[in-house]
Amino acid sequence: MYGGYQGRYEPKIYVALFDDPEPAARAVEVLREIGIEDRLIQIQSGVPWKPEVLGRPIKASAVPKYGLVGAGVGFLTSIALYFGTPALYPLRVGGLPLFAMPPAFVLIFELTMLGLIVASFLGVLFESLLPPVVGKRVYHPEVSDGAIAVFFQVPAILLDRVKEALQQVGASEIEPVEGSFV
Amino acid sequence: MHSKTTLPAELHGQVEELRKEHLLIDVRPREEMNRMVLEAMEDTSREWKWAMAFLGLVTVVTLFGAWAYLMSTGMGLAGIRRPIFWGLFIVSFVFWIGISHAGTFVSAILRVFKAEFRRPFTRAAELMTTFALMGAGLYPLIHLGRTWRFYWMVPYPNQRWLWPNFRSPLVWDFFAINTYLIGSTLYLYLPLIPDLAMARDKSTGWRKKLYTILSLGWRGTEEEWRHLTKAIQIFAWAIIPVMFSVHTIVSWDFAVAMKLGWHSTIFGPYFITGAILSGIAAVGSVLYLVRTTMKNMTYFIRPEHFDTLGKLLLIISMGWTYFFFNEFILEWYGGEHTVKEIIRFYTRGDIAPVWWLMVICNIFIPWAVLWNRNWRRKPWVMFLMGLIVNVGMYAERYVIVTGALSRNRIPFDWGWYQPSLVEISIAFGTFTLFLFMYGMASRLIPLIPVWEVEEGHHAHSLRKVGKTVVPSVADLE
Repeated sequence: MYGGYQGRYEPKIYVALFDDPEPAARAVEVLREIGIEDRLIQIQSGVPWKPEVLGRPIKASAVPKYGLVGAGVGFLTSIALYFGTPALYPLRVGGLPLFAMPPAFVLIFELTMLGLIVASFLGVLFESLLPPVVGKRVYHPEVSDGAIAVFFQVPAILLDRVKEALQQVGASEIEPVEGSFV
Repeated sequence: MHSKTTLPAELHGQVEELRKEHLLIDVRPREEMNRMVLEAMEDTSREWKWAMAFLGLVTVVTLFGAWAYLMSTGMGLAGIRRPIFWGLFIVSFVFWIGISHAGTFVSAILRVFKAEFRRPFTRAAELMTTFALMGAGLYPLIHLGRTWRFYWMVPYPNQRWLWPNFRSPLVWDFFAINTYLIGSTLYLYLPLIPDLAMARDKSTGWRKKLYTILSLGWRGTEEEWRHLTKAIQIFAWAIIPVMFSVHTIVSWDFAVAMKLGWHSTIFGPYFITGAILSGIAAVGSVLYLVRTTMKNMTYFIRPEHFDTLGKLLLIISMGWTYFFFNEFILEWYGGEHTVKEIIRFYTRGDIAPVWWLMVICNIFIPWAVLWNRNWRRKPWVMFLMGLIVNVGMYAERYVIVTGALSRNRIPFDWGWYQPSLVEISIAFGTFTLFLFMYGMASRLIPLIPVWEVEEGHHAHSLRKVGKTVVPSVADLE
């Protein structure tokens, strides 16, 4: 009896599939009305939809911060290379200055940009947790075919209500899935 | 989104015409587009296998074989002799760096400006950038002669007391090309991840394993898209100045030298315009090959795309002509004795056939052909234009590199460059290497960015204005 009680309240992840962003956005609204928080909803799609389109909270990406840090590292590396190494290994050519500024800009520019680019790429991987290290994550392969998959975590006690509401807004399929959001 | 039912019945004829013309109006389900792209990738027919085997073999013999022969025998095999120390290797190096501007220009610049027509062929162009840079990167190694000494360029404390001289443009080249290669490869890879995930979901066997690794577990969540699209924006903005810097620095390899015919303040923009010209021309040729040799590509790559590439080519050709004439007329007006001799040598001397070939291929033919919309829309015409312009651009580099070195201040120091068979073989080998790598990649990665095309489908709709119907674009990016 106690186990049954637990089962009714233990949340599970389900997925509802939609063909268009409009019903998917309505589904998000419906789930919110039922009491499912935004953090318990995840949307997967085959194209990038702005959060405004799907009625999702607007969040800023942290990737530019990675880029900035990378650019900083690249900048400092270029300074160390350009000014540090000739000081350690002086190469005197025809009375030319060891530390000429115009050529320094070339190296500074290239390494700063390299740092920015590489760090932005790494930023995407870190922030998106790609590739996954442990555990199975929820996914529906129809996303590749253009479906919009709305994943939501709901206790069994609310499931029938949620299913009915989602079918009303046009969900083509609602089924349980294994795995976690992240 | 493009439903004909919302438009009056009498406009259906116009709608059909628009669909035939514009890819982004001609909506097909994502599932079907996925199938079309995968079918094209998996079509490894006998003809394709023979073509790849032939290209691979030719590359091994003409490029790697000749290079090995050159290394084992010595640089004396090359035609470079005093005073012409730079020959076909440097010409080819500059040429391939130029081709590498294709991807960045077509993809990054058009992405920044949200030019919708770019969508189906950005990846085909980006792939060219990566492979062209790989080809270009071989030449400094080949030109070294003793290639195995390459690590002397790497700055690390060593007993040789040798250190890269950061004041040398050759070292700038090293940094600029590596930055561009890494940047453009990542820029190719990032937008590819969602399409690799699609391929993962649809493939079986070794392909599934390969795409599972390459797609990094992509699922298309909001988080993933948010970070990916932000990074693509950053890349598009960052790669443009890097692209400009690469060919500017290549031009400085020449311009910083106190060499008449090279020491010019206009060489940076002149080289960049030339690089973009050859890059766009090459995109036209490659798109034709992709369209005619791969299944289902006539749906994705249409006359409208060749038309816009043709317009771009014409405009860039005009830009190149402007810089070319600017460079030419100022040197001609200067009246400096040796410069006058260089100009005579270019226009009436032994190298004149190459110089005139450059003028005809880069100015006369494009201007005569590309003003005409009907010709621009013919894929085979754009294929030929691509080849012609690139012959012209190769000739331009040949004239600049070897022509200017042939004439110096005192006639004692004049010379004539005759490329050797080994040099010609190696230069030819990089063309087959490029085609080989491109041909292999076309069967391994989705050449069409399906998600970007679908995004374009969502953004486009038809709108009735007065008595007609016109395409309309929503800003969904």
